Amino acid sequence: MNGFLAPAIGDQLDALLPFLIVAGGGLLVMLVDALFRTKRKDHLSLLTLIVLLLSVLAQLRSGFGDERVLLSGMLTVTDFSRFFDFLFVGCAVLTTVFAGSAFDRGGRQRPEFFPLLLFAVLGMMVLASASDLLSVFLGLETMSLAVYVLAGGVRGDVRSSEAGFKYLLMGSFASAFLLMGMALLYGFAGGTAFSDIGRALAAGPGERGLAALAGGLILVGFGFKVAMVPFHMWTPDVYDGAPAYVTGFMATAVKAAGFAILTRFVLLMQPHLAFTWYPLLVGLAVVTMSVGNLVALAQNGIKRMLAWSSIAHAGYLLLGVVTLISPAHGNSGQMMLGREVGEAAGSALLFYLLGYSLMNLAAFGVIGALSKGGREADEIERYAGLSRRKPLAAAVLAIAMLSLAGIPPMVGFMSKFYLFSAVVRAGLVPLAIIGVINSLLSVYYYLRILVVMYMKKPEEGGYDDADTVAVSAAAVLAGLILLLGVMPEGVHRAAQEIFRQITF
Amino acid sequence: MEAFLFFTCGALMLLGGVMMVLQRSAVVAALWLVFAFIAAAGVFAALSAPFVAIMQVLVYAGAIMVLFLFVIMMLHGPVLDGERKRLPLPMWPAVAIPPLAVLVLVGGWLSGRKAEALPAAPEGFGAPAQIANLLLGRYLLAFELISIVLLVALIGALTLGLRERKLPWS
Repeated sequence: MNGFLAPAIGDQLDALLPFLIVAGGGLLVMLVDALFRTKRKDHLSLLTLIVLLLSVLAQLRSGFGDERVLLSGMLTVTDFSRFFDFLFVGCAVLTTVFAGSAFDRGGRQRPEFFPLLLFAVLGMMVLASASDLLSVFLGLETMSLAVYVLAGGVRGDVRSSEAGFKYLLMGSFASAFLLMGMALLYGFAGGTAFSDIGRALAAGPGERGLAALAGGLILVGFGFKVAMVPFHMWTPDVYDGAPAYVTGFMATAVKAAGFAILTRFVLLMQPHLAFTWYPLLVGLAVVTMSVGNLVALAQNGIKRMLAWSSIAHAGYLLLGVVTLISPAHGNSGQMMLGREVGEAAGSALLFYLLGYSLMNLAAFGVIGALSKGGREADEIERYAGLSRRKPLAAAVLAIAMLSLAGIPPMVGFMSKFYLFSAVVRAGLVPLAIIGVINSLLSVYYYLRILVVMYMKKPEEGGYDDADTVAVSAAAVLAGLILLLGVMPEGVHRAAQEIFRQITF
Repeated sequence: MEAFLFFTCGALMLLGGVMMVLQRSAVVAALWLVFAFIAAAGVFAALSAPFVAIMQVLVYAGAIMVLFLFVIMMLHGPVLDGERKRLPLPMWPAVAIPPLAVLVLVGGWLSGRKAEALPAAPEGFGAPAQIANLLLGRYLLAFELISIVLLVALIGALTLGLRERKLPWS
């Protein structure tokens, strides 16, 4: 019976502490909200910020560079997962600030927002470090359930309710696919741990068709979360209906979490299934980029436009995943990963996710700052003349748009530069060309915002009231966008270091 | 004996599931679901998992279904009218899938490709102590995380479902 005894948790506590702090913090914020029911909710956002800060400190204290297997193999904390943990917490910090300012300006979000945000972050952290199908599923559901409620949580707002309900229905459907795939994979491997699956795949052909089918079903589940075409239908409606600060969180943290687990999963499966995954992912990447950009051209609401743009960016990121498992040349058709190419693609992927999160948070932060009394600043036409009325807000939004379009010296340019050069190094020149054409296409709709803000005459009914706190936070993001665009080397080298540790 | 119990209970469970879907009254459907749950408990018992079987009866067939029935009756459970509509065309593949799955199973059985017999369950298999050890040992993370998932679902249902003024604690 020795094998069944509880593992010694004591020596894992330092690595588990970030998870425990976020989980306990969520419970604490909920209790504080229930005990002190005041009109203003500043104490809740402050407490949330403290919890997030503490989890960062705990993460820093537990150290870097090593691989920690926790809770009998359910979680494996590596630098890869630590990178994502920082990203999630960073997104949550800014979302808390933006949400706090929206609350002050008469937003009708419920106070349960803050604990749910923390639980969503907990789910993402579990997802990024999961090394067992069980923890993958539970992390994903914790995140998803919390985000469904965040999206639909605006009191008395039909569009928000519609967004939440639609997201819930479609998300449950996608989860069912994911679960079916996991069940099949369990049947194939005889275990749910990633190590079991890797061993079963390495053992020989076996029921390889079963594993491929399972992989496909799981891809549907993850593809839904990252808004990959053709599983993207929910994105515009949900991004549009949810309040801007929640949309910013969905577009950055949720997407990053989806890509974290997708990357790990593709790396786990690829040595054995590359022949089925690779062409499939190439096709999906191209379709996702193109559909996202083409539809974004025709949008009149800025949130809907950014929703389609986030689909397009999922396509670019998929390009990075494709490159990660691309076949090296001259290997007689056998799928093998060139270590150098893999590192380049992986680090480009991480850098892109970071840059993409910065610019989207900045953009949605400004949109949220301009919204008032539960009415979202959504109509592009009403941004006319914003540069004269609110110069700082207009400048931040302009920087975010230029960066999304990939124009130097913003971080968006460097992200695309690293990504496309990795694609070219892998010998996938046609894919790189499609990517560049797509990002040229995207310049049109991003610049349209700039033209409206800076060159159109201000009209009656334009947005003219911006929240100072939110705009300042977004301005800090804009500063980071510029800083990382000019000096990307340090972060990029750190990202390379992360992928050097991963055994391909 | 165990195999006989397994297949009988399995067949009864399927019957319960099918009958549940075919009902026009929500209350009767819920009762058929109770039937299916009890049959599922029989399947667990046949698989040498007595504790899970007991829990299945207590928690699912007992507590959860009582709650279901309570809610259905409180809301005057809907009864569909007698009018029968043709199944829309896109639904037909969905109807075809279960019979196909049965065909595959029967085909595999007839072709003589027998699966290896599983080894007999070790002594003490399925005992509460063993399940507890697994839950609080290997599956500790899952055990704790599920409670958070349920908590999030609970908060979500309350915040979305209730109007602000009607919260019991405010």
